[in-house]
Amino acid sequence: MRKRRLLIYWLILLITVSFTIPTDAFALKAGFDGISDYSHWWYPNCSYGDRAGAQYVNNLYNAIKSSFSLGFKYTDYDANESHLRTDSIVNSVQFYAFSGHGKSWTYENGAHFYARSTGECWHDSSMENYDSVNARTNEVRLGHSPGYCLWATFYSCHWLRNDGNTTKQQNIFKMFEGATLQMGFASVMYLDSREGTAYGNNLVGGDKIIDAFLKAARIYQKQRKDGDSITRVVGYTAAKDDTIRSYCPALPSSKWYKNAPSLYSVIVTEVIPHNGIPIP
Amino acid sequence: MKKAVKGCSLLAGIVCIVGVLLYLGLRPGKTLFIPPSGQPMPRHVEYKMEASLAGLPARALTYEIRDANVTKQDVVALAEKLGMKGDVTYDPKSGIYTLKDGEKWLEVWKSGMWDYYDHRVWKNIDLQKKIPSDEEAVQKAREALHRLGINTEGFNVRVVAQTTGAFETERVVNKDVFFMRVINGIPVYGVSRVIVSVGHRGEIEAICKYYHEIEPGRTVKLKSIEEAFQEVKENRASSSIHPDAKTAVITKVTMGYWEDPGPSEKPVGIQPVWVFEGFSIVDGEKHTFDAFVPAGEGVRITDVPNPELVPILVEFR
Repeated sequence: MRKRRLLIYWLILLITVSFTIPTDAFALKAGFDGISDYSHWWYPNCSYGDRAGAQYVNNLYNAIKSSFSLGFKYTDYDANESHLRTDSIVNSVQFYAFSGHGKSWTYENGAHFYARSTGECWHDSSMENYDSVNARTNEVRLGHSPGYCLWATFYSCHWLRNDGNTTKQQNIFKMFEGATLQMGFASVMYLDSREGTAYGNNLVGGDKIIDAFLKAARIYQKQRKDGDSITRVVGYTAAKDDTIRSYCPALPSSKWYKNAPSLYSVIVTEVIPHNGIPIP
Repeated sequence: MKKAVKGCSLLAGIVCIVGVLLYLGLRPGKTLFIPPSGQPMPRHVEYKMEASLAGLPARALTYEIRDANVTKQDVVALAEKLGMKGDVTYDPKSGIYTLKDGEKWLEVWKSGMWDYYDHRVWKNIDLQKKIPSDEEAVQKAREALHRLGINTEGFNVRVVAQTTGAFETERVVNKDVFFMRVINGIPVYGVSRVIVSVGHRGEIEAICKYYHEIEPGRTVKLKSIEEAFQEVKENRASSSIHPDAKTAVITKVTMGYWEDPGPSEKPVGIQPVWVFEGFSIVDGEKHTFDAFVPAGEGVRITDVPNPELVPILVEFR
């Protein structure tokens, strides 16, 4: 009898403790690289100028933190291109976002960092095309273990542009090795850190992931005198209706782009045009 | 006593130094947030001015945002016009009212901006749609706005075919009609627009009203073109110039207005900007660009929206 009572006490204690121990509250993890400082008070500056990349990822994280655990958030001098090539970083989270400068070359595009992946926290104008400061579409692979990145957002110029070149487009598709969606731009775009808040609010508010990104861009991408902003989502076509609460899991290798190219597409392209013409 | 005197002297010294620094111009000045592009900026460009500068204004009227102070009743009334019913919720953090009626969603900002989406059809790439011509799309969009009491007379218009797929698989899924505001013949850049998404046989899939109601503010003196041009040369402009440009020619300079979407800590209003248009030749190819500079005298560009300390930090760099 006494043993039974003791057992019941232990059970009650166990249940109580299991409810009070802080746990990893959310199944989904988010990770970020955002660069605002492309300059340093002591070291030479990148010639491209500062942007609001760190503010963007901070705003995005603040907007989604009710639904995601933070895997990592590297900003400014702590962010570097190796994060996008290292499975234990970019693929440790399900939702990844980069914000900063973007570059475009003939067959690939790049996310541009200020710190070098060789360890220095800066680069100068002679190093703009160095591998150590650019994560290229040719070398990023998304969807591997340990965390199987599902969705990646590049709030930067050019990441998803193909210039009408099928090789360049294939180099974008080849990044999909388990991941399902990538959101980004196929043109010059304009960095407004408030777009991160709008995107995050849309995600948490129940929008499809694609819609969340497009709707935020419709508010914050600007009409100018010259040049349209082109918003684009690329990926596993069957994931087009995914939300952060209902989604395709990471894909097995039989469904990676290199093994099943017909499953992938440019899902949507939306143009935010520059200035219009007078109504007749 | 001596210690107290020393302390007071030290304090007075610090106050003096801070005062001198402020006098020397480290105070946050007036700034306007015009977001810069995410593509690289060339390190050094030799600019040539070939634009006619005759007839450019020396002063301009600014416009204040009229306090919309949207209420729940306003949201319900708008929803009724859109054929929607449901409960309105309000998120004080974002200042947004939301009403969801099945797949139809309406969001209304306290500032008066709003957007409506019919998710049953908007960006639904599974549907086979018969998309109307540009002229028909504009007509359908104008009819929809007219029913809502939105007058787009005098706005500029642009129709964009939005697509799915690429290369040979590309097809149109809807047409977006952009109505962009013009004030007294001067275009308003930034976000001063209404977007109407037109789908199958002219069905309205989405309406986004992102401009604010305004009223005339005050007349401000404009900085000279020379001063503004210097800011372009020093990369203190929001420019879309080609990253590899070495030389560039400015072919046109105009005054425009800039509208910010908010939210901001302070209402920004509609501000004048100098718009430099030009081109550069890179690898034998001509690339056009624009560069925006705040036009109000003493107003500088800032790279993040509004926080009070940012201008100081920018000054220090």
